Amino acid sequence: MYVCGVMKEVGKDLIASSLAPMVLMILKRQESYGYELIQHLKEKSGGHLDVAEGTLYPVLKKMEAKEWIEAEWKKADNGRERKYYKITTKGMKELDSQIGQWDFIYDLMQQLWQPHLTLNKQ
Amino acid sequence: MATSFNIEQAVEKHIAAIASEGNLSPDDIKELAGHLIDSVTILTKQGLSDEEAFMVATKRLGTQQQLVKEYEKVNPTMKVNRIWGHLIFGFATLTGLWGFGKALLIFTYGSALKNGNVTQLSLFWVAAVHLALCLAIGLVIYHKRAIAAFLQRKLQRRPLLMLIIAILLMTMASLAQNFVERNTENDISFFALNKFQSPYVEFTFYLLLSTLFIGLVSMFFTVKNPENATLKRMFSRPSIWFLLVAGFATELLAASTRVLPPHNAAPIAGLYFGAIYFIGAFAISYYNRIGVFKYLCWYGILGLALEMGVGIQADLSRINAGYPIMTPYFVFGLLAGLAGGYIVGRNTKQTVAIVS
Repeated sequence: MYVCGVMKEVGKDLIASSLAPMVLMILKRQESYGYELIQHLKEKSGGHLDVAEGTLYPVLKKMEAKEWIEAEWKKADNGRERKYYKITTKGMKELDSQIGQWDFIYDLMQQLWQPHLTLNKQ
Repeated sequence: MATSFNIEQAVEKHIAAIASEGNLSPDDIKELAGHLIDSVTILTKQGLSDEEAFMVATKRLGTQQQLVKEYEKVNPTMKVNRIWGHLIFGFATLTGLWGFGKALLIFTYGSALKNGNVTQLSLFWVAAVHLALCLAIGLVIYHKRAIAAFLQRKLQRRPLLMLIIAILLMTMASLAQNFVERNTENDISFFALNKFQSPYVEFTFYLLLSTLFIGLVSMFFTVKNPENATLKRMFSRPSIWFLLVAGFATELLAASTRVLPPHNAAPIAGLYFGAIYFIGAFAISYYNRIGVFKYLCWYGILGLALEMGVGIQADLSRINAGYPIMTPYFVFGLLAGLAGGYIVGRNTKQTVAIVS
């Protein structure tokens, strides 16, 4: 019955709500562009994060509209232009707030999980 | 290994297909295309061929529906703006082209009628301009797919620039029209036909009007078909509505042959009249294997009704004025044209053998 810690396919809704803080976390370290962001996420998840890559861009657009990130077209080494994103001060605050929310939800779930386990063990 | 696969083109085509359905800004298109190129580049470095890499990269990017749905959420007003952009572009371009066409005709008529005397050469020139305009309309209809694709691409890339060009075109057409109107003799208008007293000028003008009408009709009836509007696509398995409208256009064109000489020679007028129907009936019989008789009935019914109704009325007044009657010749011409087109169309098919 213990499935915690074993990677399963993550539901669409959960991905949708966690993509923004994950992107903010990456951008907190360095500015990046869409393709690199997706590769980074996939790599860290050990290839388990299965999202349609293109759907990251509408998320980035939404984040840009909310002024969590800002974008700039820059010329890359291969001569092509790439849209680079970097986190804003507002984005930093948002990230802190979202991490707090995730912690809260995680703690809540942990607490709710305990009685269930004890019930099961009876 | 040499391959004809062009990644840049394939990427552009793939993203354009998504953009045509969804609310993507030029910036979004550029970003998605860049992503695909990056993805393909990495995959080819891992040993995949260009085609394979492209297939994998597009699959990873997501389906058209997925992307369209997600972009719709972040660019909700985009589609509305684009529709308005297209409407304004279409309006300005068509008004501009119509204005230039009118300016050209007024200029042509004005220079042909200068000093009050019309020479044979100027008549020839006017008829040639009519025919050239017919040809231009025909070419636009034939290449409608390529033109639409080109305009859509340009409108997606640089919507503002395209709108400015269209509005400039409209303004210039209006200025050109004003200019020629001011610099030609008085009361030379769009319909200065009767001043020429030439059946050829008149007939080519009617031909131009009919081409315009048939052009609009064909655009309407091939709207669901994204390919070029060819005769085959219009005439093979036609709808009843198409046949009625095409029949009406044929009747207008056939009726306009009455201006051609010799005048007061009813049998020859009937022959011209029938010849126009012959062409239409030939096209229907040539492009269809079954149901031709039914198609021809729908095609000819409006013309027959008009000839019988309006024609007999006109004949009654002709009898009163002491002129010979015409209707029997026209009705006979119509029926003979349909029958002739049917017979020749069927027999041509047996030798040419069209396999669709």
